Amino acid sequence: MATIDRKKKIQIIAAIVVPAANAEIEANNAFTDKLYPEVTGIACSIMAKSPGGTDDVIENSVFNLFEIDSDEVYPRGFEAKLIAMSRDQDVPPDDKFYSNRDKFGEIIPFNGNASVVNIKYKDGGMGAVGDYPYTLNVYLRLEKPNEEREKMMPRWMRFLKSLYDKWDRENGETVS
Amino acid sequence: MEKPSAKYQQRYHILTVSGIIPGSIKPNIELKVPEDWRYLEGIMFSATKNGDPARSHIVGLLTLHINSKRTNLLQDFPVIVKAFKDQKGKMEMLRFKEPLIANTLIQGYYEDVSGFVVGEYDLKIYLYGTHKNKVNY
Repeated sequence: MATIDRKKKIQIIAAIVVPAANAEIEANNAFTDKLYPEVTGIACSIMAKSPGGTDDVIENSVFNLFEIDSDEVYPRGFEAKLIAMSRDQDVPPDDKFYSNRDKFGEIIPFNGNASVVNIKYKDGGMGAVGDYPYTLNVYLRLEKPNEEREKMMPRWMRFLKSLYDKWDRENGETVS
Repeated sequence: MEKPSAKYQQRYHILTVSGIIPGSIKPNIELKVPEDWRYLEGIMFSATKNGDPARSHIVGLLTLHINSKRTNLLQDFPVIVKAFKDQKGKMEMLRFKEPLIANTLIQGYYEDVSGFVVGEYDLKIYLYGTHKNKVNY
């Protein structure tokens, strides 16, 4: 039976329940799907019980820790609203992810194991009383390298690609 | 198989300008460039206002020099920060590819021109750059 080889997966890596204002919550040792070795995007969203009052709680809220495989993705004090999904209906869902292919490409594990994600989130205390508790969902966009396409390439093209990948890895140039 | 380690990594630095009073100038913004920082690749801005979500737009003019004033990166660049509620689409980064000299200073000043904003606020300048990986090289 033919199987569908999915290249992309959206994973909710953490669902952090914030009970009260100014609470600091940790989500440690969350594992990514090991079948998808590339992390190509990060986003977060807030789900609160009270509709309409959810946008204020993200003001001043920060990530005090955000690391994948012990590599720092965001520094201490990075504001959550900078990677929060827009509520704008005109934005396609895939464009709501914050990605830098080079940056997230560097922290992928090639050893076939899952990546470990550690998050520490601190609420900014800006929500109204009715906004708490709310849930912060952190999403990762995971992708598979396109091996089949590489297999179909001519040998000289594969050689050039390997040289380019090596150069890119060593020089850290951004691939857009 | 070991995880391949990159020679360079992209990371953020946060430069916080705290206690900005509307209509005032905040001089002496300063950050020392660490030794492993090679390129400045982008800048993002954000503002936080204590006590009340910043509903109105915060507007200011930022001047930044890098490499101890050898390069004038921004001159009176308009910084416009909206509340998350008013944001449309995705927050984008102002992109550069400016080489940085180790142990020099990033300096500048910020002038607030949003007279209608009530109360103090803190401006966070996110500097995104390429760093040499200290651990493996």
